[in-house]
Amino acid sequence: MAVRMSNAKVASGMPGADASVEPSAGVPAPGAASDASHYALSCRDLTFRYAEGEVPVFEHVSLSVRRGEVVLVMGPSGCGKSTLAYCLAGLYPDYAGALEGVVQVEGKPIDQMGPQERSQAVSILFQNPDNQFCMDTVLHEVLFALENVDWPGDLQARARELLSMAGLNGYINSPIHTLSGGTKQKLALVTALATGARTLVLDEPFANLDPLSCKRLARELEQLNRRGVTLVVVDHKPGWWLPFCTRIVFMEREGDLGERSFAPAEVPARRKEFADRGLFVGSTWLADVHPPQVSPDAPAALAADGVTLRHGRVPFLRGLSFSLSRGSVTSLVGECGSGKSTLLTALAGAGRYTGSVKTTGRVGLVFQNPRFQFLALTVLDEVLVTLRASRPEASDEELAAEAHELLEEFGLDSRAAASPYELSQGQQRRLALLSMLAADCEVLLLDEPTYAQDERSTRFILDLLMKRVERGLTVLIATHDVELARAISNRVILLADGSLRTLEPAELDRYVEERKEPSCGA
Amino acid sequence: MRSINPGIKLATLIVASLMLSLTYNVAVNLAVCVVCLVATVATPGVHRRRLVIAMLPFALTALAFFTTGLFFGSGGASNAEAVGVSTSAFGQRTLLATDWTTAMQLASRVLAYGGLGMLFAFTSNAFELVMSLMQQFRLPPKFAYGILAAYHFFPVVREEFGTVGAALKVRGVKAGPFSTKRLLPMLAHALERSESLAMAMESRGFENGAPRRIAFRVPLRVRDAVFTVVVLAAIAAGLLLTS
Repeated sequence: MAVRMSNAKVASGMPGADASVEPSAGVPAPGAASDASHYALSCRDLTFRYAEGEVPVFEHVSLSVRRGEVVLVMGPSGCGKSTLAYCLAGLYPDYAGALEGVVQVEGKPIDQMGPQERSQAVSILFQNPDNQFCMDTVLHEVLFALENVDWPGDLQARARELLSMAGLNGYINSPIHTLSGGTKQKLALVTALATGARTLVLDEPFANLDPLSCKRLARELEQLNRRGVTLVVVDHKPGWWLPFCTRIVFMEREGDLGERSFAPAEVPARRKEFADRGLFVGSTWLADVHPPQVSPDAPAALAADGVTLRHGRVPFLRGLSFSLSRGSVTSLVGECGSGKSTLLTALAGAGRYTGSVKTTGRVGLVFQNPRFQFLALTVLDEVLVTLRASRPEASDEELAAEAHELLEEFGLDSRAAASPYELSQGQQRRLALLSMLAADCEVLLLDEPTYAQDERSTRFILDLLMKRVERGLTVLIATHDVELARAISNRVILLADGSLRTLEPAELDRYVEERKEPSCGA
Repeated sequence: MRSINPGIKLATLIVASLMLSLTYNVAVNLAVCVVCLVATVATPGVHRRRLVIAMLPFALTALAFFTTGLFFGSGGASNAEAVGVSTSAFGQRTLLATDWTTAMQLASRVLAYGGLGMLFAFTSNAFELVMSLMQQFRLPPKFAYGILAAYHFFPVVREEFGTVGAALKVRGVKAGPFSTKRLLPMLAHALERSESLAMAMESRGFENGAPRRIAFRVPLRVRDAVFTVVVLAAIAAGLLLTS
């Protein structure tokens, strides 16, 4: 068996050295792992292309995950981590691309299993909690999964039992679209477990969640793992996983990923490897992120007075008043569902509110999901849409030249003819930012500009942004990354219970301490 | 009304409206409309204001047909009796007679359809309807759950319409509600969404043709048969008796 022993070198030591074996508790001894059926999930010689004849996303990749393990897969944006996750969950190549090689679930080739059988062995949690529900209410969703796998017992009782285990009793009859992101991910987890899945593949499950929800969900997953559920996690931020993951795997373009895997205790010693790949390890990268210099008498670029926002007739943000000094960076923090995005949309003049918002110029808004920003069929057109709208009198040649210049600065000129939807996540984010900045905004509002990004793309975006801030752009960032908020902002404001207030330094430190990603070792 | 099997209810009401569409009987049309509306209002939990709003287009259409029929009826007022051809169904004359009758026939029929539609829409639940179509009318689960999933995406799509509107607005692009500038991104999102939904259904174990339990039985009871027979018999009797 070609898969044998490939993950025996989990242990510490220099890369390439003959490492000693340190199997974690509850995991079968590696000597016994010569049979693929000891693995919860394994793949061998996987080569994946999105279309025949294209350059493969990865080639001859192998990875074996033992039962009860928690394997964290890390790699730069666009390296194929999510694609690998979809292959391991049996969704690709059915839904996209061409796959060579074998994926085995508990020793059985996954392509020989139908969805019903497969979901009882392995299920997947998607990054976007909004696109993974098929039914209207929480209870119906769980029952749907139980019906699908032909669950032999009392369906209603089992559904209620699963929901109460996850602490979702209070939401049994709630319509799913009214839940917060964190609750949605929890529900997705419950439905995945309802099928009886013994292995879960998680594709950046925390990307859309606030830090407290991450904390709770991480705890939930840790408990599941103790009960024997195997986890394969794809994520950019290792902090939440290190306390309970068995080993870390770097996603590479080819080869045996397991061979180079290492234990979480080794993370501090391997900082350079993370840095070389442009990956986050803790928050040390923030050491060179600073707030801009703003003179105390800088005029206000945006002043809101008595702004009230309503859901239907019910006000949920009341009488907000604040101002943003020209050339400053302000962060807006608060839990999922506190109204950050709605407030930004209103401030940008694209949502209803009462009260007054005075600005010195155009206000731009960069959405959390960059795909919502796109209006054109090519990257170049995307920039031109904005340029044309802001300067209708300019000639096409003039605008095209300027668009190319901007694309060059944002590292996107080589993709000018591509569709915005084809770009990698990091590129999409840059394009979304550019599509707003091209209009010469005075004030730019950004909704979660750094989520689901590796360190390199996060820095790239922040550098581009801060360059504009130096030239006088005023920025308001809504973010869940509380440490980034503290590092980059002149002021951090908290949106909670329908009102706003500035966090004083001591309070801010406390707020960050309670919510920051666990440290990744000294 | 809510306890009637929604699939049976739908089938019955469709047959009823077909019967009415083959005939012109003002009294029966109006009676059907009134009975349906009374039955709807009598059902507990029906939102009356919404019912009135939903009936409004039917009422307006009926009014429009009425005036059209009145002023531009076949033949005009002077030769009210000059009807060339006469056909019948259920003992009913199905061609126009006078302007007044033309007007009333057209208008009352619209109202009858409205009544039947309201009776169904306000007393049935989409989820139960799909379950009933699957259980009693052999709709394959693939379509049934596909329809439900799409139906549950309505709130998301409505939200998205707003988001794309905001995207256009902040870019300074002017676009009407049905502009291609708005529809194109929405189409792109819809395609993406349908794919991720299919993947989600599959990863939750959904397999067409695989044995599956049923958590929601939509029962087929005696009262459903009684409902069908009574409704259709009453309409047939009304048509025959008032001819």
